[in-house]
Amino acid sequence: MSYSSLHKSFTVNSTFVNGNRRSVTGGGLQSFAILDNSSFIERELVRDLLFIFQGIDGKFIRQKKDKSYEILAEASAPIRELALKLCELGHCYNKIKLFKEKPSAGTIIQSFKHGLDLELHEYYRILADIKSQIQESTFDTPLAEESKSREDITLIKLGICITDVRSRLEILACVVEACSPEISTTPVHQKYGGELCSSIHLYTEHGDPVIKSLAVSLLTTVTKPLYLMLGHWILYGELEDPCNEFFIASDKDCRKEDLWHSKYHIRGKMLPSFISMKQAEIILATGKNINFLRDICNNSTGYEGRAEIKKTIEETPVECLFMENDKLLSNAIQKAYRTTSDMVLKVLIQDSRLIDHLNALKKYLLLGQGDFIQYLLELLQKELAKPVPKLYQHNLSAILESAIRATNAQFEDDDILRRLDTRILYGSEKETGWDVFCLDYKANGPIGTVLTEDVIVKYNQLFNTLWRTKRIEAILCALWKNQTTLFKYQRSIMPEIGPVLHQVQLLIQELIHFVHQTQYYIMFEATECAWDSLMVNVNKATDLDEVIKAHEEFLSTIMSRSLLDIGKRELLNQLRAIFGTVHKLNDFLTAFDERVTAEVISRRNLKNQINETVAQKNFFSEYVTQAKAEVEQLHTVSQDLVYRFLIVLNGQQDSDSITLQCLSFRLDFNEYYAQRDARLSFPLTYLSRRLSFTSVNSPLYQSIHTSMNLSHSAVESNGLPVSFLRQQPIQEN
Amino acid sequence: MPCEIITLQLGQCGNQIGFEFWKKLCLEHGVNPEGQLESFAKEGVDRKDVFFYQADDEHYIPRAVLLDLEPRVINTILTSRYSKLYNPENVYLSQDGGGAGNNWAAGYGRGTGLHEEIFDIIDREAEGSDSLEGFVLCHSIAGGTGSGLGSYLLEKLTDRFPKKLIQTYSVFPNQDEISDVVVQPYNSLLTLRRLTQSADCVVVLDNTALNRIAVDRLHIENPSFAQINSLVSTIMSVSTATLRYPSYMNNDLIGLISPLIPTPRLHFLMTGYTPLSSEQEATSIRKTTVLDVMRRLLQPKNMMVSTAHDRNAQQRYISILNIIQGEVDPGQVHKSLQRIRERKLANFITWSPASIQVALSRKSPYIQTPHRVSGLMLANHTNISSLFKNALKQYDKLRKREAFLDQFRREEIFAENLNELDESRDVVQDLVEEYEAATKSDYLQWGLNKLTQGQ
Repeated sequence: MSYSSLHKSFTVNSTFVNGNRRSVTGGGLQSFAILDNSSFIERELVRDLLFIFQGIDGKFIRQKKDKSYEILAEASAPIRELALKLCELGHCYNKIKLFKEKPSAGTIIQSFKHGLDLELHEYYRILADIKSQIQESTFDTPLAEESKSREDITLIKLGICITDVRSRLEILACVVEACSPEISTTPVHQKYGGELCSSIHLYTEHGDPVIKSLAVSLLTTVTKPLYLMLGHWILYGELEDPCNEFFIASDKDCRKEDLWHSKYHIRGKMLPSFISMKQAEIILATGKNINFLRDICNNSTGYEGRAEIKKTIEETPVECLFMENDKLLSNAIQKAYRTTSDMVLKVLIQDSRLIDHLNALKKYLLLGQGDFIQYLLELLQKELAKPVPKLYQHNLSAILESAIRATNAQFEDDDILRRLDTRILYGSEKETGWDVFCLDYKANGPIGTVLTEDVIVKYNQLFNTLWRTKRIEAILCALWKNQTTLFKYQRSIMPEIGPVLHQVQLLIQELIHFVHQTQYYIMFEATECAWDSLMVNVNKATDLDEVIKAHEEFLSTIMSRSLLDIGKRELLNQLRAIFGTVHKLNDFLTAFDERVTAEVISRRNLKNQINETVAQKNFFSEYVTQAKAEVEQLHTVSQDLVYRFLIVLNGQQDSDSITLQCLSFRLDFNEYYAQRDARLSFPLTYLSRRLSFTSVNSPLYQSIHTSMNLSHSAVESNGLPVSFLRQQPIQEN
Repeated sequence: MPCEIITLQLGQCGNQIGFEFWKKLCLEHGVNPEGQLESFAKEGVDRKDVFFYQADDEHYIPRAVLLDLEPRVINTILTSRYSKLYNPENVYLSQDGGGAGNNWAAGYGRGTGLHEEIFDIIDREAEGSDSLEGFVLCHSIAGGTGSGLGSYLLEKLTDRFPKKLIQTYSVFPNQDEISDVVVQPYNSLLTLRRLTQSADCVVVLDNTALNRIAVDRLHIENPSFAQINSLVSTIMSVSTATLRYPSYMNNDLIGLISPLIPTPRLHFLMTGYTPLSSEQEATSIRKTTVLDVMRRLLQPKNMMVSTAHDRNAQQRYISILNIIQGEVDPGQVHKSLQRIRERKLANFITWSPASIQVALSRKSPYIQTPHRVSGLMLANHTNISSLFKNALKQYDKLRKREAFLDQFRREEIFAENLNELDESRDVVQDLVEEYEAATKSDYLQWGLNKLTQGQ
């Protein structure tokens, strides 16, 4: 709507109005229709409009319930239209007034209202000006004719007088409406706090310089409390925000241990549009740093350069918040962030010796301290064979204590040893100590921010897996040692068990190879490689969050490479199945040993009774034949399991598949399995993937399967035994 | 702490290499020649109690037993700077000082008489350890005391400590020079029998190869015993490094040798070491990587065993353990393994899965070396049988002529007949056959057939 065009149309139409002044009449206006002088009406309308401008109904103009205006006087259409047009200002004013009068909590909204007040003062002043002009024209000159000669206030004139203030009020009304939509339409939500700032900020980018400067000055007023809150947060880490207007919120019920992770967060809605998310994160981190230092590290001395930053904040005008050309404030914030972050890192890495603790976790929970782990395993053998309900924390802790005292762990720092403890994971009654035992690390104090409870639980899980592998290694070592003794024995006394032993030895060797290579893999490709990048990342970290992130990456890398993440459940189960054959072999050999020992003794006793000895020998040789068959079957089953494991391993297709292939590479370095199983010599195809799920019909295999709780219910019934697919070994000359 | 190891040093050679070994261990652990911990040494980095124990005044004493039938070498030790290091009660010197006269039978025969005195010492040492893991025997197979008395001890240790591991560092004679010990082939063969039957693991130190390395690689014209022994002590100290510097794996003797030895008889290990360089060369050492080290370890010229290179026989590695020390990027290990497989640098057996195991071990912080990375290989290779074949050949030559048997017949064990020699020959022959069988892919079946026939 252009004023010049309106003006024009008014002048053209005014003659028309004068000529047909009674042609337009409102309903029920007769009583007021005494005044038919159009200029008189116009004057009255002007006067009324001044009331309307202040939200008060006039004589001839009033607001209806539906908030539209009606003109009760008989006036020509152009006049009416013009008057109604001017009524808009009243409408704007009403809106603003209504908003102002609405009770609302919040400092930002209060300052917004204050800003509106300031604007309205100016508005009242202008109105008063106009009013005085009107009064001059009516009271100072009693005669209408005279007044006519004078400069009379016409509607047009009035329109011109309020042009400026009208556009301002229109914008203000728009802002108000944007902030509080319920005034106009449905009651949704009244904007407040940072959100309100965002709404106003929108207008600071308006093309009209008048509006722009209006928005800027309003926003300056509005953001004053925000600025104070920000300063307080940056300087002291305190939230002075009773009405939840600040874009950083705190959870009052948060436990002290979770201060860093969950006490403070960014309220996205309250984030003013002139502060970027990245900047907000820096601001959040700064205050978090201060709180962390004060609450967790008991360091409330503040930080270096705080006074300067305080001065900068005090001296910098509020506009700096949203005027991008000034870097003073953001530099100050950046400085506060840097200083406090460095302090936190210093406290964590130098004072709390984070790296030492991480190293301790690697040594004790990831089995790096081999002598200690091995001795602990030896001491715990008996205890961990017990079912879960019979495990007692204090027994385990006592054993841990003696393992520490007898190994190099005794030279470890006291603080670290104090934190080291045992833990029994949740387990069913059927499970044994081996399934639920793990070492624990009490990470309280500042390091608890990196080593949270969740993180330690992951370490617990890792420990348990590695520990089980270690146990298998120990069993195999014991079996290997027994074999050397039996071998020396067999040479002289019982040559007939030789073939059984030979087969057993080769099986043990295969399993030792498997378990050792798996451990080498976990140690190099999983742990040590991840550790290297952890150290690099921690050293270049600039704040605590980066340290936490680096450590989380470290853990998840190891978890995934150690087959502990969910996607690798199948592999982990297969691995456990292979371990299961070690237990089977162990059971078999225990029985076999007993039988052989008994035989040796009885032979010694029966040395002179030749007949019985022969019978006995025959009986025994039958047993040996049977035992030989049993070992052969165990061998086949364990190899089949390894084949399957390798096939699934080669078929892994997630991000870590390259690392997992390192494992299959290690397990089959000399291509022993690949040459024996057609499926392993080709890269993975649909066929090989499908075949990897076929079942084996041997009863022993199935028994192991069930005992391992593997759920392969969906196996194909027509599946061939894996051994069928194997190529015959090439005979060499 | 468990896993203690008692070192038994026998004869001249055994005591010499043992002496060098302890010198090296002392340096690595920061223990001075009197057994006191140096001021710069810190606790916790290393594990000293595997090889040492502490006296009441806290000074360190080697778990070592020094035995000889003649006084020369032991006297040298006892007059050296290290004289106070050893427990004097653990030094046994035959009273008559006559020695075994380089005669296996004499050494073996003396064993019976000295049995009680020797086992008094060994038993006391064994009782002094919390959980003894085994014995390490240092000796030569060619002389009299190390071979003869050593053989006797091996047999008796097996009986007395059936559950303890016995590892030996056995020095094989130099085949490049004519020995002044004429009965050396007899001595070697008889000792080899015990090494086959009573030891759990034999680390072969071949004087032929050690001399060649000293001459060709270290450019020493006439290498002295001391120079050769310093090579030996390096091998011994690095091969025990994982026991002394605890890490994820290979922390005890069994963990070290069980993956290397598939069946009880195939327990003869070769060693290789790199970088080999003399003092002058050390300054110009280039940057060494894990791959360099692992590749060089597979080259025959770095092996400490001289084996005839026989390409037709399809000799194979049964197992390999590389102990790598120094600054190593763990990510490099896999890359190196990959490279080695791609280039087929190591020919492995086909009857069982096998691979190059790599153990990263810490280095002593107290010794500065010019090399960034160094490596020791412990390998079980079928080609070791060529040493035994050679021993058989030498033996057969001598035996055919019935040469020098008189001095053997004088001893009790050969008083009635020479069956002991024949039996020993059979055992060594069997060993050679087993190693040959291990080169083929049907080793499993071979073993079953052979052992069934043997019944």
